[in-house]
Amino acid sequence: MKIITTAAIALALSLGIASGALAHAKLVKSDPPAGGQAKDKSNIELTFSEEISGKLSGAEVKDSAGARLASTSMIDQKEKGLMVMMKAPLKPGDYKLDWHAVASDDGHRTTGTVAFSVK
Amino acid sequence: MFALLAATRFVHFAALTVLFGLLAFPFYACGPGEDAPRFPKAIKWSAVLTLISAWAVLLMMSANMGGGLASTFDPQVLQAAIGDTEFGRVWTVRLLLALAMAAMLIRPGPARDMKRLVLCGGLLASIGLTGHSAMPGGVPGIIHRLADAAHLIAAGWWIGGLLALVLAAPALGANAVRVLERFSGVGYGAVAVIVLTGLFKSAVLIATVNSSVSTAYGWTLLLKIGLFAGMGALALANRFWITPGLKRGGDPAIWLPRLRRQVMAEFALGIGVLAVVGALGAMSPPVSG
Repeated sequence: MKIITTAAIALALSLGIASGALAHAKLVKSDPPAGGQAKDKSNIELTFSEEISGKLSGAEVKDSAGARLASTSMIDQKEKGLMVMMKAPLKPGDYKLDWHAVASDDGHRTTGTVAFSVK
Repeated sequence: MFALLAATRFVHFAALTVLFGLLAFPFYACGPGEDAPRFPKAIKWSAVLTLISAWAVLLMMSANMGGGLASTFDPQVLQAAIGDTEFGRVWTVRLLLALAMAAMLIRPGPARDMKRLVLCGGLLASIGLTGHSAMPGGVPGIIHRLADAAHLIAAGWWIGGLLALVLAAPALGANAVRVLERFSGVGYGAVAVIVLTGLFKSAVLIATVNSSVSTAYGWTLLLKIGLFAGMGALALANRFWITPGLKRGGDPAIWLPRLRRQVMAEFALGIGVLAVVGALGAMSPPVSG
């Protein structure tokens, strides 16, 4: 019975954790930081825990009224980064950036939001 | 989205696991002179299901990457999913293998066919190449993947073998005790491989994963441990109750149906374990900023 219990735990741990929680790209840091102020009014930089797919990852910036502002984004594969470039510099106000990232290896998608303000 | 991805993953794992177990069964369960069971129908249909579900998993993964079901048939998303992720590249090769295998297995073949077993085993083992990252590179990475492959093969050996036993049971007759004892023998081997590779993998994972396991994830794991423990209990009942019962010269008309029910229950629990694996891989830990 002992061997079976051990087997159960081992199998559960290995199959479970292995296929689930590992390879998701998490946001490690952002510039501006969440809840912080943007110094650069044209560029926002996100850094992830994993390499992400350039074609499947991106972000959009919305103002406090929820209107989407024009931007383009590109990834920096070496730095595991996503750079969001605003078409027009941000005016003073509160903003939300919604990002989505797909890990280059297992293809899992993660999403998140960073709120920041511009003075 | 989650349910669809979990369901397609489950069907793929289950079909492939069963298929491998069915193909492996004649190699160990029957002696050289004995007539080995062939399961042509079950083999054909699980090969077809493996192929269809491989497509379904790719489409669901791609839809997930694109952000929802609406992007399931978006060619740009699908192209990026295939070309821009490791998962997509590995899965494309697996799809081709699944196609070749279905073409081979759709017609009945000999009971012991090493070619078919190796192809199916390769397809089963390659699942381990699609779900990982943050894994050490170089030699430790290779060792980890080998352990993964052995783990999957052993699981298929055991769970698929149970279905083979269910299907073969009515025709076993006087052979039943011999077949059961052989099955138990390799069953112990398979469980030993599952335990050893599982412990190794756990050790590596616990060393590399931080505690990002969510509560729902933890409960799902516990459910799986419960199912697995149930399988173990039934396996012991088989070994220490039914096999000796038959060996004593018990009436096969009573003991063989009993065996069949018990192995069916064990197989059902095994399918339950695979369903949980399907769900776990589709789960995302709660990520925010």
